[in-house]
Amino acid sequence: MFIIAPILLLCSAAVAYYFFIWRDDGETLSQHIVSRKEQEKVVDNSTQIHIYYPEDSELKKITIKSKQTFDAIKSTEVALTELFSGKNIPNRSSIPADVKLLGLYYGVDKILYVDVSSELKKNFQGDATAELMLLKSIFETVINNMEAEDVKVLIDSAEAESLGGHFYLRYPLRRTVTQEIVTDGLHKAG
Amino acid sequence: MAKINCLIIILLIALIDVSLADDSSIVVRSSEQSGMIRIVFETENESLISQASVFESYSLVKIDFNEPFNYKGGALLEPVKIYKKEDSLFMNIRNLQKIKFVRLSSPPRLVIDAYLAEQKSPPPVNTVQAETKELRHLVVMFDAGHGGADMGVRGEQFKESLLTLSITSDLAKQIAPKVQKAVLLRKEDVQQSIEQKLTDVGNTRIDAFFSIHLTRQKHFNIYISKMPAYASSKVAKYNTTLAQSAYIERSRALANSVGQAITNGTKLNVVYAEIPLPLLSAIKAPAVMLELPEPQTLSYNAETIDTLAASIIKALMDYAKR
Repeated sequence: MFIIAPILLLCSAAVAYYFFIWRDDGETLSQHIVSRKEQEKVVDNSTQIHIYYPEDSELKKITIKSKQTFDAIKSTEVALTELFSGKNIPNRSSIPADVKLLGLYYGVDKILYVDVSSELKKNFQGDATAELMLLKSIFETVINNMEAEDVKVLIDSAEAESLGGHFYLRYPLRRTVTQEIVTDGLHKAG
Repeated sequence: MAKINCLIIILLIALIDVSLADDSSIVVRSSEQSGMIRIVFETENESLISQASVFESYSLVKIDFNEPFNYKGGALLEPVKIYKKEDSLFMNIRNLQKIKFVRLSSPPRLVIDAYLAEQKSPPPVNTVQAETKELRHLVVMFDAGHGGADMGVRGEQFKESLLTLSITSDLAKQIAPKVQKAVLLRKEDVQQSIEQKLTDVGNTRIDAFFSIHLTRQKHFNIYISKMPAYASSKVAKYNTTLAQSAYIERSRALANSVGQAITNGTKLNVVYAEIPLPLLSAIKAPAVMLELPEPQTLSYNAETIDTLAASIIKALMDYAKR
């Protein structure tokens, strides 16, 4: 009886060694290298943030790295702060100056409420297309960084009727900004 | 005796207050002399006049006094309208060609001589009647974009809200004799919400709607409303915010006619776009938003207004023939 127990212990140790340490499963050296890279990726404490910004009548995208967070709202906050500050945006002429992000609130209806300072309205001086593109950039920046059904903009924590007098801010943005814009090109004179 | 002394002191303080308040008051008077209107701004405060800067753009004259003042108004002739905004006065003068101004003292005053363009003699009545016969039944509405605190596009010498107010007012005056009625949605420099505008539009039967705005681009933008895919459904027919869906083809035709006439008249390029504009979407008539290039690109003098008015009349005639 006293002999059987150490033998059993030895056998189980041998089986464990075979399955967990010795067995190679045919993996090549390069596969080991890839898995090491993936490990580094996990260890790398940065995450990609996508920012959509208006330029003339188009929307352009930049991607920046930010400190890794598992809170999608924090990533969105970084993205929107970056959009309004415009530090990494090549051409920020379509973005009103001195806009501050005051807060983000995620509703039970999956609508993200984006609370911004009144400079967004005060310093906006564009035409109808510029206003639509700015609203679209806020919407796209949010939905590409977190899971949100819709986006609603608040000015100084209150509901505003419009940003630049052409489109409603009273309602969430999706219905306005996701409609395809039909442009019939430039009709040249002469 | 003490009571009387107190009363005298209070009266003196009150008098000093009144005199100080009056010091920054500005009154205005105007007079007309053969094609010229003289507008005089008078005050007791000499620095108000000496620091004042005067800018002119189309029919708009901006007087920047660079310090707070109390505008008390005064007698003004009909073609002149004055609005106060912060430390400035904005003057709209119909048919303004150019201005000259001079600062005078004792009492300190700013004298602005506004020279008006000669009114062109209208073409023979029978030709006009024949050409615009189709328009006699039309009620056309003009909306001057923005207003009040919502100033829209701003330049050093212009504000979209005031410039569009002046342009729509002139367009309506030129177009009114050719149509049944030309109506202005906004007559003063006041802010109107989109919903307020829609309520006002709903109170009038209209046959065509033009919303006039400015753009920073060097070309004209002509917009009609982009209707959502579900706009043609039965349910959407009862949705007042999508009332434009029944008129969208006619709006498209009107936009094309306006664009062609403007391209021919101004020799500037035109870009057409369909975007979901809530104001146009809810209008029960052919509706077009026209964005004009800012004054650096196109000078809004009497000739330009004539061209724009002629373009809109031509477009309405083309549209009416269809």
